[in-house]
Amino acid sequence: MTFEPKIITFMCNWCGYAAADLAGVSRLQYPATVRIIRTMCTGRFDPGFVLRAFEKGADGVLVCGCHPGDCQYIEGNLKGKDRVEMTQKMLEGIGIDPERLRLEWVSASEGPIFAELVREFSETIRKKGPNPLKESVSKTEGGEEVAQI
Amino acid sequence: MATTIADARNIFIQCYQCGVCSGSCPKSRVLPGFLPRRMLFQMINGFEERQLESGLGWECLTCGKCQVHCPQGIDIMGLVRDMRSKMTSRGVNGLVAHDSILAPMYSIMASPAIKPKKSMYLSDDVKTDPNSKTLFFIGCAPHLDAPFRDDVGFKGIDVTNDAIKALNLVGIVPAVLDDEKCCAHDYLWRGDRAVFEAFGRQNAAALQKFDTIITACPECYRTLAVEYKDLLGIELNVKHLSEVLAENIDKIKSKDRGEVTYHDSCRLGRFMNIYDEPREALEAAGYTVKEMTESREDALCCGVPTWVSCNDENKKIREQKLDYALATGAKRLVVPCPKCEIHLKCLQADLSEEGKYPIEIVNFATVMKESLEED
Repeated sequence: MTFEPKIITFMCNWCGYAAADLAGVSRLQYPATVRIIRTMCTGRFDPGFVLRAFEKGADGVLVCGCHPGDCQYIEGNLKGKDRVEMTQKMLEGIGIDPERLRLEWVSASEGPIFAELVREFSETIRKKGPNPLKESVSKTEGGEEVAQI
Repeated sequence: MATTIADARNIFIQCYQCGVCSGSCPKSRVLPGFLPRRMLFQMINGFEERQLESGLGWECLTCGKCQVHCPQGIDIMGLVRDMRSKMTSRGVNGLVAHDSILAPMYSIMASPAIKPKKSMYLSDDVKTDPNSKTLFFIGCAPHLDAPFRDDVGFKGIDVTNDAIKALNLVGIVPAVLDDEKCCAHDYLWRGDRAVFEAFGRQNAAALQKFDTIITACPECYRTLAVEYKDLLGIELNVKHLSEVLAENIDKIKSKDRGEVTYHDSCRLGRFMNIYDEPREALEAAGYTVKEMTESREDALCCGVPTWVSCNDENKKIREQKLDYALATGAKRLVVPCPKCEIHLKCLQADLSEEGKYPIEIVNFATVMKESLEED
C-alpha cells in the first residue's frame, strides 16, 4: 500500500478556513491528506498541539493564517508565527524533522493557492516518509506502551 | 531506595512522630495543613486511603529537607514517590506546569524510533572528542531553551555550551552522545517508573562505555549516579561539573570579581552532599560567596520540583528564596540547576514590572566559563 500522509491542519477562522472552503465550493481537486482543525486565529496555536499531533502519529502539521497585517485580532498571526518558529526549534532538538511543520499565509480569497499548497506539502511529506514515531508504534512490541505515555 | 508502600511500612515503623520533618518543611510554612509528620502517621497507621485521596502528596517539594533532619533517617522521599504512583493509579493527579508542551515532548523522546540530535546545540567553538572516555551528559537544558528563552530568559543552549567550554578550559575534551536520551528524572519523581525505565534502558548501553560521565545538571547527576544503580542496576561513575572544576582548582586563576551568593539545589546538596565543591570553584575564581539565611543542608527549595504544583504557596517559597538572595547584598545569584534557574527567573520575570528582585540569576556553568575565559 502506498503511503498516504496524514496531515493535521490548524486554520484560522477568517482566512485559512475560508480559503479551504472556497477551494471546496470551487471544486478544486487536492489530496485528501489534510484533517482541518479550525481555530479562531493562528494566535490560538499552541506548541503542545503540534507535539501532541506528532506523538499520536501525524506525518505533518500545516498551520494557515491571514497574511501579516490582515489579522482580525491585529497581531494574532504574528504571535502564531513566533510560536511555530519556536516549535520548529523544539522539534529539531527532539529528533523530528522541523520541515514536517509548516506555516503558510493564505487569505480567504486564495482557494487555488490553498489547493496547490496542500498538493505540494503532501508531496513533501510523502518524500520524507511516515512519522518515525508511527512506525515504532505499529512495529515494536512495546509500541502501545510508548504511545500511551 | 526503591521501596513499595508495603516495604516502606517496615521502615516507617521507626517513625516516632517527633515532628522534626514538619518543623523543617518549607511547604508547611506556607500551606497550613501540609505536615510531613501527619503524612507519615497516616501512611503507617492505616489511614493510607485518606492520605492518598487527599492528594497532599503532590504538594511535597521533594526537597529532602525533612529527610536530612530526621533522627531516624527515614526515606521520606522514597515514600512520597511511591505515594505519587499510587495516587496516579487512583486518578488523583498532580498539576504539572507546562504539561501541554512537556508531556508530548518527553513522550516523543521516549520512543526508540526517535533519534535526537543533541550535537546541533553545540556551538562551533566547543571542543568535543568522540574517542574520549569521558562523556558530557547534556540532559534536557537545551530542549527547554526554546520554550523558555523569550518569556523567562532561560538560555539552556548557552548553559550547555558554557559547561563544555569550562571543561575545555581546564583541559578536558569530553565526548558527547548525539542520540542521548534524557534522564527522565521528573517522571521518576512523579511516580512514573515505566517512563523512567523506558528512557533508562535506551541510554544504558551507550553510557556504560564511558569511564567518567560529567554533567552540569544536578537532576541528571543524581539520577545517573543513584537511580540508575538502584532501579536499573547500572553502575556509572558520574561527576558534577563543580566536582571536576574543584579537582582542577589550580587551573583557575583568581582575580577579584565581587560578591555572589550560591543556591544549593536539593539534588546536588541534600541528595548528593555536594556543598563545598561549587563554593571552592567560585572562590578559586575570585568570587566572595555570601551565604543566604538558609543555606547548605538547610537551603530553601527553588519552589517547583519536577514541574508539579506551581501554585501560590510555592510562589511564596520562591519569593522568600529571592528575598534571602537580595539580603546578602550580592549582585549575582549562582544556581547550579537549570530547572531552579527557570523557576527563579520565571518569578523574577513575573514581578520585574513591580521592580522586584534586581539580582542577576546565572547558572554555575556560565559563571565558571566566564571567569575561566577571562584569564
